[in-house]
Amino acid sequence: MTIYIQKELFDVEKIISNLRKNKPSIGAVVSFIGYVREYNEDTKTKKLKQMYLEHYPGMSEKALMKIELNAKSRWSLEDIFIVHRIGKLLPSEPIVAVVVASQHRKDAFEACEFIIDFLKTDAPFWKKEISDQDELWVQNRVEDNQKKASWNIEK
Amino acid sequence: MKISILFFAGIREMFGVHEKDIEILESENSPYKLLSFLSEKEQGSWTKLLNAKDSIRVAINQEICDWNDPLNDGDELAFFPPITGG
Repeated sequence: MTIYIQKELFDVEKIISNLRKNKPSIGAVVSFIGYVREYNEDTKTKKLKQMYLEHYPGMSEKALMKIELNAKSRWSLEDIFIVHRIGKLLPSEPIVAVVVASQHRKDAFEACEFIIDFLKTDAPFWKKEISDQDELWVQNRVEDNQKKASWNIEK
Repeated sequence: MKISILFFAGIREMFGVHEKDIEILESENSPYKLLSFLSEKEQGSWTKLLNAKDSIRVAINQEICDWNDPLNDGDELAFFPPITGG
């Protein structure tokens, strides 16, 4: 299991090939990648110049580790890799990647969705959108909490 | 007892600092009691924080906690808005 929190861009192809190295038991890899949207989600008119990502050093790593361990206890997984960027990001750049490897696809599909759902509500990261009009901290979405709750587990 | 208070995102901007180390009374031994005390004593951002209590998150030693959980000497207390990463 690996967690990276970094300013730099990441390369998912490289992450996958590293994950698969020396692990011929892996039969499936599922990845989720989140990108910076060009327009503000609510107004649809504010064009983003930049996104700023803040986190709680120490707690964010712990929270992601806890999510990975929870996923590992629920599904049969070969490996998990999470990378989350911080600092200044530009439109269309990747923000986060969750890469899950398993022997069979069902475990990787479900675990990947589980991990990103919990990351969205439990890992202390905050986004600020810097548009051509203003700078605003992104509000949390009710849908994200509902999505997490739909897994029907406490933490 | 002595504790460190950390602020993140919009709350950090409101306070203008990321961290404050403060000496507190034994009786202010929960996030809620401490915030009520600071709001009464210093007002300003502390009062704004107290008024927004239901929409902010609190963590002790890097674990999300409840407002009435115990605070101990040397603890790291953090206030932050709902999470919006990913």
